[in-house]
Amino acid sequence: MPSGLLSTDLYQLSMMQAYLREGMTDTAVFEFFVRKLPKARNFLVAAGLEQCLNYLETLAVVPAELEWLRTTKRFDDSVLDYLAGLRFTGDVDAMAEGTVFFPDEPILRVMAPLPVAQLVETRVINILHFQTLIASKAARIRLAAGDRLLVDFGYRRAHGADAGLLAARASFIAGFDGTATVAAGMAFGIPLYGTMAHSFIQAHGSEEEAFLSFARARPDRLVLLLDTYDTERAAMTAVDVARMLAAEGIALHGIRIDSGDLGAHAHAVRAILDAHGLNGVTIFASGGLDETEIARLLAGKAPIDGFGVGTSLTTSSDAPALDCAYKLQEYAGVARRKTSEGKATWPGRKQVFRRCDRGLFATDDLGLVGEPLPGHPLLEPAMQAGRRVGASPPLEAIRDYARGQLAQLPVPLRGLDGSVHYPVQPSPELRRLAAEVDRRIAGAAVVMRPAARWEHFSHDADVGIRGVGPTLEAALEQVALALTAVVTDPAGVGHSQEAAFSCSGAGPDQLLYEWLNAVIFEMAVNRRLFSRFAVVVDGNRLTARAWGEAVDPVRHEPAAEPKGATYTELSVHSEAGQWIAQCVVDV
Amino acid sequence: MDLSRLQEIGGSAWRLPRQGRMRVDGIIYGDRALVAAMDEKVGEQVANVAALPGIVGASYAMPDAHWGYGFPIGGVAAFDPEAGGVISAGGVGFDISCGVRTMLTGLTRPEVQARQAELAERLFRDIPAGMGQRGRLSFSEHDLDAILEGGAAWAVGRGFGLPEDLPLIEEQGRAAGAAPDHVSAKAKTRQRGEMGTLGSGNHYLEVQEVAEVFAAGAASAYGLAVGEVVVTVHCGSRGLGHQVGTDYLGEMVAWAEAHGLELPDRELACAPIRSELGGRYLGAMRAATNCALANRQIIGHFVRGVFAELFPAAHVVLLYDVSHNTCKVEEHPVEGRRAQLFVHRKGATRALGPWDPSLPEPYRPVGQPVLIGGSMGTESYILAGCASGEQRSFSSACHGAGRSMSRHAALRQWRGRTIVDALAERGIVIRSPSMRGVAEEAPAAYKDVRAVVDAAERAGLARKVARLVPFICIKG
Repeated sequence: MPSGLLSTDLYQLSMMQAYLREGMTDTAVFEFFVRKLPKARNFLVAAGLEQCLNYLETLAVVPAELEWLRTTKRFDDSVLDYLAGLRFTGDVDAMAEGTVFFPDEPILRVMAPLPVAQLVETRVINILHFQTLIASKAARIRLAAGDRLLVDFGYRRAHGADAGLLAARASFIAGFDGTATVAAGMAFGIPLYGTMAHSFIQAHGSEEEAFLSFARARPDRLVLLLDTYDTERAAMTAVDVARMLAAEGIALHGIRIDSGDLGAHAHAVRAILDAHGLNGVTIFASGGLDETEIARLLAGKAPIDGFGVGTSLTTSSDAPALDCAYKLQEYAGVARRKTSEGKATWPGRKQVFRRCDRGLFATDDLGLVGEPLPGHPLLEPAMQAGRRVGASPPLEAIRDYARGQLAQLPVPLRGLDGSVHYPVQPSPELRRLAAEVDRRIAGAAVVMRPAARWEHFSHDADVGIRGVGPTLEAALEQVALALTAVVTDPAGVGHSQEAAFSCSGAGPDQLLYEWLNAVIFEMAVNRRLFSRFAVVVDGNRLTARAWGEAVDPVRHEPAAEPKGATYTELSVHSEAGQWIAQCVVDV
Repeated sequence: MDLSRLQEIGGSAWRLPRQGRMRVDGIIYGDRALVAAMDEKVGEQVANVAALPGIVGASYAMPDAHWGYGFPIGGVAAFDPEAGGVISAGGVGFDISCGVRTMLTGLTRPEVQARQAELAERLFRDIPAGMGQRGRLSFSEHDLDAILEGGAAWAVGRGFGLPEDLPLIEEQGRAAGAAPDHVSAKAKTRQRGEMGTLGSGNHYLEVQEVAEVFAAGAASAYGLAVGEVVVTVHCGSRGLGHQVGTDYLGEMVAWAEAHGLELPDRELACAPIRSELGGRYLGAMRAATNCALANRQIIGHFVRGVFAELFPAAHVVLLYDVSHNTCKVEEHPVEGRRAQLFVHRKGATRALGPWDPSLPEPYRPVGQPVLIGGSMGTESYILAGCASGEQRSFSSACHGAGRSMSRHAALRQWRGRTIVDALAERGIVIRSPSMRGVAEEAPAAYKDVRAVVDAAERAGLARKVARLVPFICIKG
C-alpha cells in the first residue's frame, strides 16, 4: 500500500494551509460514528481499527509525493514544510474490533493537532467504514447461518484488491470460518477453504474423470462440485467415485452445489448420499447467497452444512455504504458540534456506557468521557502520543470477542428485518454541553457580523469595558474579553488552561458585577489571562468556562491590572435586538 | 466643567450650591483653567456625594479631581456618625490605603548618576512590578492575620525596616481597629504572593533629585536639600485591598437596595457607620490599610537593601508615608463644635497643619509632609499641611496630577517605546514590563502637576516645600 499521506481529499490540504496561516494547530478531537443504521439493520460491528492504527503509526510523506505536490504549485511552503516533518503524534481512543455498536456511538476518537487530525479524515473513514460495513454484514450472515460453516468467496466481486483482502478479515472477525482468498491466509492467517471450479470439470472428458483426477491430486478434505451439468446425476457419480477412492484410501469429505434451487438440490443430493451410506459427506452451498436466502433455506430445512458467500458479503449488497462520519467534537479545549439539518452531532469527547441485563445488552448511555455513569465504558485508549497502547490482539481473539458480543445481542435484534431499535440515550451532561455549545454558536455566528464584539469606552481614571452580542450570554462573554483587553491584546493570549466559574446575582446588573469580579479574582490569584469564554445564564445563576494561560510578562506585556468591576456606568440591557453589558473597571 | 453652574468664592475655590437632594454645598478647589477642564461628571459626583446621609461641611473636590466611580477621584467628604453618617466602600475605593512613601538617601545626584542603569536594573529586579508578578515573600494565613493587625509595625518586627521608621508613617504605621476576621477568605487568597510588589497602573517607584526648594524651613525639617536624591514609592494594598473593596461594594449595594436607600449612583453604596455592615467594613478596611502599610514598609526595606549594596555611603531614612484612599476617624470643627468625623479621602491626601498632636516631633512646627506624585517622568512635589486646611477641606490636599485623558485615549495617541526614548533623552531611565502600560501612563495624559499644586497652595490646602524630578522610574 502507498504511504497513504496523499490518500486524502484535496480539501484537507487546502484547510491545512489555512490552519497553518492562522496558527490553528491546537488539539482537535474528531470522532468516527455512524449517523443512522441502514434499512433492515439493527446493529453494527466495529472493525478496521488495526489497519487504522497502522496507517496513523506510519503516516509520513515520501519525497516523491512532496515533490509532486510542489510541482502542482497549489500549496505554499508552509504546507510543504509541515508535511515534510509530519508524523502522527496524537492519541486515539477506540472501541475494540468486534464490538457491537449503534448509531451516534463513536467507535474511534482522534486527538491530534488540528491540521493532522483533519488530514487523516479521508483515510480513517475509508478504512473504518469498509471493514465495519463488511463485519456488520457478515455478522448478520453468521446469525442467519447458525453454527454452519461460512466461507468468504467474495474477492472477485470486491471493489478492488484492498477491499477483497480486507473483506476476508472483516468477515472472519464477525464469525466467518475462513476465506477462499489466499492472500488473506498469508496476510492475516485466516483459514483457507476451496473446492474446484466448473472449468475444471469442463476441461475433463467426464465428471467422473475430473472428480478422480482432482481427488488424486488433492486427496485431503475432498469436496466435489456437483452442478456443472446435472446436479443429481453428478451426485450419483460422486457416490461411485467415493466408492472407488475409498479403495485408494481417499475419503469424500463433501460436495458443493453452486446453482439452481439450492434447497431442492440439497434435499435430493442428501437423499442420494444417504441412500448410499454417505451420511457423513457434507453439503456445501454457494451461489448468490446472502443472509436472507440462507435464512430461507434453513427455514425450509435444507440439509446444507456450510455456505460460501461472496458478492453480497464483499459489496454489502443490501446496504453498500454506511452513513458514517468523522466529525470535529472539540477544538482547543472548546466543545464543538455540527447543527446541520439531519446531520447534527453530539459535542465533546464521548464515551459509551453499556449496561447489560441477564447477559444481554440492555441499554447504552452516550455520555462524556469521565462522566460517572453506570455501565461498561466501551472506548479505550488505543494510541498515545502516536504509539500504540499494547500489542494488537490476535485475529482469533478478536473473533472470539465478536462471537461473545453477538451472543449478548438481545433476541429481537438478531432478526434480519430491522424493526427493533436498541436504546441509546444521551446523558444529561451531554445534553447540557450540547445546549451550551448551541448557545455559543448562536453567539459566535454573529462574530462574523459586527454584532458580537467588545470595546473600551473612556473614563478619566480607569477603563470602561463593554460587550455586545445577540444574547445576554454573548454580551457577558464579550465584556469579559474586553476585561482581558485592559491588560493585553486577547489575540495574543493562548487557551491551554481552563477555568470554571459560577456566580449568582439578583438581576443582570448584579450578575455582571459578580461575573467580572469572579474573572478578576481568577486572573489575580492564578496570574492568568483568558482569551475565550463560554457563558451560560440560568435565571440568577451564571456558569461559565474560560480558556486562557498564565501571564507571560515578556509576551503579554501586561498593562494595567484590573482591581475590580465597579457600578459606575454599569448596565446590562438589550436594545434593537442586541445585548449590551458594560461597566467601568478600576485599574 | 460648565463654570456657570458654580460660584467663584475666592481663593481658587468654587461653590456648587446645595440643590435637589444635596444636603450640603459642593466645593471644588482649583483655578479657572483646572476647573473648566474637569469633566462634567466631577460636578455630578460632587453633588451626588453631597446627598449622602450624615455628610457635614461640604462635599469637596481637590484641584486634581477627575471622574471617578461614585466619589470623584480627589473627593473628600466627612460624615458624622451621630447624624446618621455613612461609610462608603466606593468612597474609599478598591485600592484601599494606596499611598506614597518618600525616603531620603543622603546621596547627591552625581553620586547616584554614575550607577544609574545598574540601580534601575537592581530596583526593577528586586521590587516586582506589573501584573502577573509574584513577590519573593510568602506568608502563612496566621502571618497574614498578623500583618492585617499590625501593618508596618508588624513588618518592622519581622526585620523589614527599622523601628525609627514607624513614627514617620501615618498612624505610626498601624491602623487601629483592624478586624482581619471581616476580611474574606477570597481577599486573603488574593494576597498570596503580593507582599512586596508594586502592582501596575499608575503605581511606580522613582529615584528623584530634589530640584527646587520653596520653603527652606520646612525643607530643612523634612531633611530635603537641593541636589540630593530621594526615592519615592507609590502603591497600595494590592490584591487584598482590591478584593475587600469588591466584596463590600457588592454587599453595600445589596444593603442599600434592601433598605430602600435611594442613591443617585449605586457606586455610592454605603452603610451607616453605626451599623453591623458599617462596622464590619471599617474593620476590614483598616485591615487592608495595614496590609498597604506593611507592603510599603517591605518595599522600603528592599530599596534600602539595593542602596546599601550599590552605595555603601547611602543612609536611607524615611521622610514620610501617607495614604490617599482612606476613611479615617478625625476630630474637626463642625458648626462651632469639635466632632469625631469619618473623613473619606478618595484620591486625596491628608494634610495636617502645624502642631497637630498626631504629627511626629520634628514635623510639628511645619505641618505634615504631603507627598504628591506627578505623572511618570515629570515632577513630584512635597507640600506641607497648613493650618487653614482644616477649615478648607478637613485637612486634605490633592494627591497627584490627576488624569486629563483616559487610558483609552492615551493608547491611541502614544506608543510606549517612543515615550521611553523621549524620556531617555532627558536622562530618565524607565523600566517597565509593559510598553503599553507606559503609553497609558504617558505624561501628557495627566494634568500639569505644577498647576495642581499651585492651586492647592493658593486654596490654602497645603504649601509647597520642594520639587522633585525623577531620573529612574520603575513602572508597574
